[in-house]
Amino acid sequence: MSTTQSAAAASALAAIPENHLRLFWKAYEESYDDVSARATEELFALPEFAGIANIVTEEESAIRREATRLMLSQAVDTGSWEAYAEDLVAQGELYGEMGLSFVSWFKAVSVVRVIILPHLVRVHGESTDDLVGAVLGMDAFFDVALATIGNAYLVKKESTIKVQQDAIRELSTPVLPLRDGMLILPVVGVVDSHRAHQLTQALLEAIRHSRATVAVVDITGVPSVDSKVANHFIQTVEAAKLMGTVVILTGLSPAIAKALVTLGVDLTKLNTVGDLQGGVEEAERILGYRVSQIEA
Amino acid sequence: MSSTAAVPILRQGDILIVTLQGDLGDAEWAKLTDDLLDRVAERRTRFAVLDLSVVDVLDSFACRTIVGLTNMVALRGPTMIVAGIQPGVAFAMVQLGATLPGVATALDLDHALALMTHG
Amino acid sequence: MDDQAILVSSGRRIAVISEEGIVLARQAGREMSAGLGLSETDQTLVATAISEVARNILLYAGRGVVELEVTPGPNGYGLRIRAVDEGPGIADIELALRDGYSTGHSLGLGLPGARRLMDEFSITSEPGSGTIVTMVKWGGTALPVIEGASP
Repeated sequence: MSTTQSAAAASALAAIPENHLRLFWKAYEESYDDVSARATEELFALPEFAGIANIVTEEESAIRREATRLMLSQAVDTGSWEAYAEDLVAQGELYGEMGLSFVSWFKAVSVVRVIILPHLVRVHGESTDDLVGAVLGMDAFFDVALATIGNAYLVKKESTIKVQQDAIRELSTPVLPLRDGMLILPVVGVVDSHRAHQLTQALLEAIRHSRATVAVVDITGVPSVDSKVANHFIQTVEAAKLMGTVVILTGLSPAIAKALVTLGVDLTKLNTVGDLQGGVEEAERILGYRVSQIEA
Repeated sequence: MSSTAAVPILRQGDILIVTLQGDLGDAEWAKLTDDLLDRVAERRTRFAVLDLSVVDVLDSFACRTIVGLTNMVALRGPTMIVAGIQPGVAFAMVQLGATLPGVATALDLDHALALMTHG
Repeated sequence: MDDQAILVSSGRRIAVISEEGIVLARQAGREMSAGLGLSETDQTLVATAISEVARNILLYAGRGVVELEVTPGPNGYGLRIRAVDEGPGIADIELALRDGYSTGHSLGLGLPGARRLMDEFSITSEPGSGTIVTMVKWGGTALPVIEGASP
């Protein structure tokens, strides 16, 4: 949990003019349960929440709502927002970890403002000044709340992506012996020069170790294949060829292949097949196996 | 220092097997070329296998020599197969840009023999 | 009588005046990089690069020296190789580093190839005053120790 994020949020909330907040909260508190339930409904309607909606019971939702209401009530009374701010940050981080679509979440919770407005009018309709104050309070409050959740979401999401990328990169290259004489090397994630060298070495060692004569290298999981990366794979193929092993490259889409050719990459040096399955079949053909279809 | 013993060349029927014992210097490559061409000429030879499994470095000169040797041998009939290039050596060769164009390769002697019997 | 001392191999110099020098230089390179704890593959890359530049010395200058030295770096140790000759020098270094270029009998794979094999690579050369090729391979974790250091 980021303390700087929640501290900033707490300050921003404390800076909202007190009377605006009180006017807003007066109307909001009365209808809190109703508004909150509606908001949760909208949120759980999102596909990403599908699993959770079933796990969280109505009871648990009610308990949570009450807890938040008390937190808010206390904050408005005392002017100290630390606890609520931390809750906002935690929410944002949760959505970030879940990989939620920010746009759909924002749309879902924006519905809250629309729901509260009639309640504000109902409670403060008699006094224009009060109504204006309440609306200003609502705007200021939701601005900070949504911005805090949004920011925590972004920070969490970015760090989650980075962690995932690092994990993918650090996965020791899995070279899988499939049959006698055949190896499969699935490549996932970003391939830079350093990793390309690692992959090549791992493949060559595996070829020697398992005495393979065909290797299928699948690059479906490589997000971008520019001419540099393509040249790395060409080098891998040539090195394996020096060891007497044929390399079949799969997962290179026709679109990318075309782009590479345009860039001057000599793809004739590569033996490419569309997908991994096709590559394995081609490998078996080369190894001299007969592949027979087993009718189900 | 460079070894004074010549590189052993063994004949098995119509196959010649050349087993390098290690790194070769320029003069040794030259001697090997002469010796191999002599042996190819003495009897009907269909294949010559160059076993590099104990060689831990192949620079651009060695690679050019191998390509040249392959072509010279081919002129007299036999097909040359280069077997046993080690992973590190293959990697270095590719980085160097020296990749034995037109030369048949095999993982090791066994695979070379399989290649020769099954094409 | 010294206590048993650990001598760190500071470096080796190999004269390249015949093709045997090429073999000696690359074998020394392999030994030193092995001593530094470089991977098998990196040892091969070092030996190959040394072979290329040593051969260049013979081809273009007729004679020269290959100096090997352990060098400390930000993340451990490396092997620094200097190939020095007093030959005719390279008039156009840019051109020499381009693949396929050659004025000698070789195909010109030497310099560009060696550069690809090493982590750092630089050439100092003036026509008429010889050539110095400097290259470094990093990745060493251990200092090479000379055995039998005690007298």
